[in-house]
Amino acid sequence: MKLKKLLSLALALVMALSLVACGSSKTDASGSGSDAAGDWKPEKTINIYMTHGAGGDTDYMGRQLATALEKVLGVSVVVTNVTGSNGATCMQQYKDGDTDGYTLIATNTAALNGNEATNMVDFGYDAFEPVAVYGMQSGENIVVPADSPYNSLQDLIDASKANPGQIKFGISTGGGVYIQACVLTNLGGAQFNIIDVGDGATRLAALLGGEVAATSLPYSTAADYIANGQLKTLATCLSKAPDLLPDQKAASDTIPELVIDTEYVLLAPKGTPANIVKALNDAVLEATGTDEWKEMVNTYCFQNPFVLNVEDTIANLKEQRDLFQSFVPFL
Amino acid sequence: MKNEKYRLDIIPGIVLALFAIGYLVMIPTIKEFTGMGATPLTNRFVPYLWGSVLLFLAAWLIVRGIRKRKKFLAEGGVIKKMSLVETLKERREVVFSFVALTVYVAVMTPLGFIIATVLYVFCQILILTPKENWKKNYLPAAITAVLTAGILFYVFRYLLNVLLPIGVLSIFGL
Amino acid sequence: MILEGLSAVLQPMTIILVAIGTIVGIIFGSIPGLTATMAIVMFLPVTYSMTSSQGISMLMALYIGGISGGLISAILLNIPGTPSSVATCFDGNPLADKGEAGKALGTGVVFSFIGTVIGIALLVVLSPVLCDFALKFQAYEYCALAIFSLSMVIALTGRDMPKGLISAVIGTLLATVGLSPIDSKPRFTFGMFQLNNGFALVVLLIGLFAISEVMAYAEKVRHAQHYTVNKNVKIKGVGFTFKEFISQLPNAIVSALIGVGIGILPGIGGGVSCMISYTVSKNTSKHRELYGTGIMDGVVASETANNGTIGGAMIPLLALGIPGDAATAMLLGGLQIHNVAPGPLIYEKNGAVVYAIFFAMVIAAIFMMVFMLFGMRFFVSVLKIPKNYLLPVIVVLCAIGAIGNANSVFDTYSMVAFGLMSYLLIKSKIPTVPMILGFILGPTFEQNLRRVSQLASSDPFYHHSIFCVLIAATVVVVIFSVRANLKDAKKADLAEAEAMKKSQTADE
Repeated sequence: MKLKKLLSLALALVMALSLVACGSSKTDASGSGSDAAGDWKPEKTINIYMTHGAGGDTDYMGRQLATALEKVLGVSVVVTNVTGSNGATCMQQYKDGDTDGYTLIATNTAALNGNEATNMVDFGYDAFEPVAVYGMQSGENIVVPADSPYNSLQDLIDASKANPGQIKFGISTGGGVYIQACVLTNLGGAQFNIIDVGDGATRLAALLGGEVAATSLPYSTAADYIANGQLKTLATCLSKAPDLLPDQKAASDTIPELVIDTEYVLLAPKGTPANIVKALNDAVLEATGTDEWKEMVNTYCFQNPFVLNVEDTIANLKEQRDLFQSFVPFL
Repeated sequence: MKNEKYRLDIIPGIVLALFAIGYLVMIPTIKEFTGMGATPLTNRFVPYLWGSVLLFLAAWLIVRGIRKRKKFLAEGGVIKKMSLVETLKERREVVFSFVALTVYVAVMTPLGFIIATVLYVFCQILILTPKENWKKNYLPAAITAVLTAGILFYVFRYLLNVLLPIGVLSIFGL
Repeated sequence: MILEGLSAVLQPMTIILVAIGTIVGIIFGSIPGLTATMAIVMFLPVTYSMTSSQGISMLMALYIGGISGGLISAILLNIPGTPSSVATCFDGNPLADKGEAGKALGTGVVFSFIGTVIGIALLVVLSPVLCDFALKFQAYEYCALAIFSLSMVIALTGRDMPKGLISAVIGTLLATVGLSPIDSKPRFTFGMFQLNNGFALVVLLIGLFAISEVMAYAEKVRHAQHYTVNKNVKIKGVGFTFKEFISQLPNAIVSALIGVGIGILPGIGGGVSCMISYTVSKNTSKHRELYGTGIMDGVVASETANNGTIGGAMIPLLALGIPGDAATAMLLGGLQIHNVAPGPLIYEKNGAVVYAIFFAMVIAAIFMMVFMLFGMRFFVSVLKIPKNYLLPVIVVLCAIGAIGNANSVFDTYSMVAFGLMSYLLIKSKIPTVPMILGFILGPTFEQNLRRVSQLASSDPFYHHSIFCVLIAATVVVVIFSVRANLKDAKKADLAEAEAMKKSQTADE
């Protein structure tokens, strides 16, 4: 009993000390918050709210960026996952967050524009102050089993026209793959039997198990199966083949509108002052300019670094949004 | 003599039946998806299925309860009146616990995790302690409350990065 | 390659990380509200900076520790620490109440270990074969599997069938809240975007078990203290004899196979495997009436199965790159981040890492058993803490778990609502456990039923032999369990009438 009391006393002491410690370090910082000086410098921990779960590519890239930013900015950059509804939950929650530059949102452009296009949310990129596009995904590929008779996207579409409703195309309703299927049908004239089979992993299982004849998969999911000859890729949905996989055909060669360039993007809540956004963008540009970053992006995304300044980021997001909105009539 | 078990069928049966009806009534407000690749069974089908099953089961309970009641009366049972106020009074610790818990989660965001937890743990400990022992327990309860709140806040907020609300303590820059 | 994997794991740093991971996992698993999945989520970013074998070994340790730790609170407090240990409460807690907490814990720990090892063995030996089997499971098969598993509710409920069914149906109704599967339209969200994600299993679990435990204690505050430290906390060895161990082996093997089988099929998970295994064990036992009164068999069935699920879930994860549940989805991310791409080429491309994973799992399983057996004395001391102090702290931990689940305070509101619902249901003598099955399987059923509706025209059901077998099995299970239930009910009624007669004659 005595020991227990002693222990609890010690614990209390440790806790009190640590509270004092972190309390003091924080108060020092928050004293001179966000002065509107030309080059803003953060003085306390920056919180990045991540729209997708730990383990996915969006989370990985966000955390890599956070680590790189810490070195540049000299403050901690903490990534917290607030997940759900393809990122809509997090964006809804933080789009009107604190505008002092210490609250940021990391997501990908397919979620940002796609959720608006599919009416999951009623706001788009302009509900935020975009900070930077900082990477390009390895892209989604339209894939079929290696022994299938189709060798190009055109083959597949033609075959579906010859046998309307016979070729099963696996999708996940509402996601990027769904948009691809809509474009294939409405602009490419394909006549697939569209079957919902769920997320990337279950689409893979359905394709391997023969439930669907074709589907679209993230390149990283399909890569090994392509390498060992179980699957073959007909086209990438990126506007051009990934930098490190130049042999891939682009789907836009067959259907010009079929372009889904998923990029990783950092956003600030609406109303964050322009100088802070600029300062953060500078930090992102600096943080991603290293060889280390290049190597990471090469191995993880099969891409070269792709980082934009504020104006280009906004222009890029607008262009993507317009494209997604043009799909709306047939979604 | 058979005890008054039928109450345990009739009352839940009625509540569940009402719940099921409310649920079923709301289903038509669900937006159906009719776009490409829409499934023949829409997103209303399964709610209709389960809602109806619940309604059926609730009806089963009610019928069973009524039968039990008849049997009970036939065997010469006398129905005792039950007062809701009495029942709640008899279970006041449970009522207080739920009130404490509700207040706890309601004030968590404005007051912050630490203050809300200190108050809640202290009150909940006393609620779970017989009144005659309260005096002895004020101090240990207070210590437990403060330690629980402080240690858990520190561990989860700072070490494990869980977004426990800071609330009014944010003026101290926590 | 095998040696390479072994040497990667047998480094002091890796072993230390596995040990830490196991301990942290056990802590997360044992605290109601914190789960194995959450442990992996919270520590995944920490592993980004480690080498691949270190990081992955630690994640495996967290997984194994987390799934195993749940048995502690299930047995000692009657609150399952994780969804996987729901069924451990059924016999574990009564056993502890009988004064045999040591036996219950020892049984749980040792058979957790056995379940893990059987799972790993099947993972190492039969991976390719089992993968082919897993790929056969598509919409039809999953739909039938969900129906089959739901039919287990009838066997689980005991004598009051309608109430058991009601509980399961409430579970399925709760699971319809949020965005609908397949087409993501909001249902029953009342315009609250926080409800779009639906309710989290862990939050439901907290409401059903932790909050109701507080209320059960609250009811007794002014009455004779049934809850006083009356439990015998003597612990001898592992708590049970070698003879008992041998007699449980057949049960353990069947349970482990059920666990592995459910683990292989993506999307079902440990919460279901422990309950199905418990039900199967009960219904095939010669003394089924003793289940629920505190016998080893129940603990063995539940704990062997949920740990078997670990090895099972790793099979499609490693060999196909398809995660089976939330925890393995995190592991998949963890592997990819360390440039290990699960899939058909994993042995060729990352063979050493795969063997490292196997060894790390074995080491973590051993650590888990050792730590938990040594820790038993410490765990049971929880029983010495007065409950009026312990329960409020547990509620706070549950609230943290609810907040941490999606980093949102909103989930704590659901937690209170579920607590109130659970209390009212228990007062109405409606069992709460079937609700868990309904809640987990409802969405699986709906999603696949709707996919089947899409497929039915072009791909009729009789082409799917597994579907037909499962549906037939469901019919058999339903008939048998209904008959068994009726028999039990009659027996119980007779006993009651007998007892009443006796008391009446005594009155006279």
